[in-house]
Amino acid sequence: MGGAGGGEAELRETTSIGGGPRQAMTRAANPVGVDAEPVSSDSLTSTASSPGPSRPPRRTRWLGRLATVPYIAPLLISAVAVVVAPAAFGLSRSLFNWQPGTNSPFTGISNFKLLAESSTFHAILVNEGYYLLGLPIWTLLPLLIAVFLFTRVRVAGLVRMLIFLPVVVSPALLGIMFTPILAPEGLVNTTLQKTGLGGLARPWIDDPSLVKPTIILVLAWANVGLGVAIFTAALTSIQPDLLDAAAVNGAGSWQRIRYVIVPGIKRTLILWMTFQALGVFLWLFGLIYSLTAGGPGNSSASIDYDVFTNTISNGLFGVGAAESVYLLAMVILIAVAAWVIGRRWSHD
Amino acid sequence: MTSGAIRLRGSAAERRGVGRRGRLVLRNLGALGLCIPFVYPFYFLIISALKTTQNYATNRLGLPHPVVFSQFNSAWRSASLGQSLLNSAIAAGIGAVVTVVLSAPAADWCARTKSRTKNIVLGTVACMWMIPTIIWVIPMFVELSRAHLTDNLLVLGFIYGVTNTPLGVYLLYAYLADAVSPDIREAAIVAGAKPRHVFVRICLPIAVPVLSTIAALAFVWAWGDVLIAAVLLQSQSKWTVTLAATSFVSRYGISIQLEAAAAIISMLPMIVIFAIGQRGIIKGLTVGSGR
Repeated sequence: MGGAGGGEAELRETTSIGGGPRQAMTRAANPVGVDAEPVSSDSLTSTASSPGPSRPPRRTRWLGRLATVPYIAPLLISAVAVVVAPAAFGLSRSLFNWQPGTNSPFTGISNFKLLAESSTFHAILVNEGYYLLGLPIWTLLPLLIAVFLFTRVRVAGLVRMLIFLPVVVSPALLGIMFTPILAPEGLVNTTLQKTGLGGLARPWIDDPSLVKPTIILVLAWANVGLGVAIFTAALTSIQPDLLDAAAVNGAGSWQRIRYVIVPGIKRTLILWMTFQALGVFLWLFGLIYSLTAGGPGNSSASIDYDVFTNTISNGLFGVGAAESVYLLAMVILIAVAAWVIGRRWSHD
Repeated sequence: MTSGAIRLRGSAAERRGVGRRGRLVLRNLGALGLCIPFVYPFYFLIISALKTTQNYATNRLGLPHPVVFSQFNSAWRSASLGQSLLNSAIAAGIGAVVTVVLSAPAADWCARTKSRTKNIVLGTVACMWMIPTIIWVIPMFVELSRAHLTDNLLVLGFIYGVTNTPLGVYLLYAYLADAVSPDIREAAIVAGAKPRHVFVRICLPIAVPVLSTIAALAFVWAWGDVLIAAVLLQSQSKWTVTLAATSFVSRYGISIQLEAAAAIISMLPMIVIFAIGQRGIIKGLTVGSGR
């Protein structure tokens, strides 16, 4: 009963932020007082639904709740106004032939049908699937570099900082930056020619079969630094004894990674892979827009880029809305899949 | 069993003894070599933009000789980057302030409360982060153009600010939950302080490094955005620098040197901010992965 009394005091403190925390404090400091109170019959009947005698008067409780409003209301209201409400409105427009400014007749699922039969949309879905193939590279590369730098490299700090430099460059600026680098006469091809590998020079972003792998590599380049920073932070949480013990017992680098490091930073790995997979659907627009403009043809377009061209360039708002529904469905699918896989993985 | 372990330990020590110095040097050299592909593109952009056209034609990868700023000059003028830099600074600046102002009180409340309402706040914010931008920005554009509020840098800045609140709330929440213990709060309350005093006089002052990290990141992310700007800004005089540089670079027949110059101009402020706040930014972005 003493424990329960303390719990009530805690509970009360939280429900009355503005009004009665001082009372709650005195109660918490002297939890015996709660028990010592004579229990009257009517408070006994009321304990079933509420903590009874320790509850503050209703007015104070309401004042307490009111006091939280200035803290969270501005955030919640603007979140709803800028993101949630427009998103809900836009998604609901997928069932209409949405023509902003004029009347938009209800058309049921015809927008979805149109997309399902569109070869362009199929190509774009294939693109998104292709980009997801970058996941192993985006995960293994930073993991291996982080592990390498973690084990007795004196210049590790400097290396981590230099590798982190690309992280600051946003996807859109990444596109601007890589236009001169990947151009036919750009850095990559020039370097290949200068080093006698001219035969490997390619039109990296103008060839439909090369543009997607190129984008995967550009993203890898841009994200390695963040991955290394995050994995390094996670690696510090592994017991050094464990690594030493593995080394002493003759475990090779690969075995150390496989049996000590990966299990040790499992949670971080799952989170990282989830973010990377979601990133394909959340943050590709900038890079596609400024590097390839979806081209050549549609061979590098992502869904969000296609929604943009459909709506802003071509005025097909209803189709764009239906496409947004598919996009959101995919994000949710990835998030749920990541959650399920992550849970299963962290249990074994 | 034990003898086996001892033998293995012996062999490991032996191996370590033989080429220890050489291997250490090799490791460090390898680590430095690893940086080359990450630094080289930046180097290329800088040297290309500083060369004359003839110098670039004859010597693409070497150092510029003579060093000229004509490429910067002509990119600056033909893409009107000066105006767009100013536009970016306005929008991203407002965004950074709005992010901090909206997320700081909410994060403080989440850090001190034990009520379940906290999950509503954190959940809304997480949802916001998970909804792809394109889904809400198109309807937002439709509504704003009805109210004649597109093409407006203040509106753009406010929207940037709101979209970056997930970052602000989570970073500050994680920090305050750790740094300002319930004991400190209780002590302050016992001494007669109201929660708002605790927020203003204790939490905000000790969170200044985190708040500036949040502001820096919010600024940098708003600076780098192209989607929201491309949807909401029509007239070229309102373009942010990222948008202006993008459309400049993708214009047909622009030389690589001009592209490089435009890329450098648009990235420079971000790189500077990062260089200043580097420690805090890395710490902020890796929060939660160390424990």
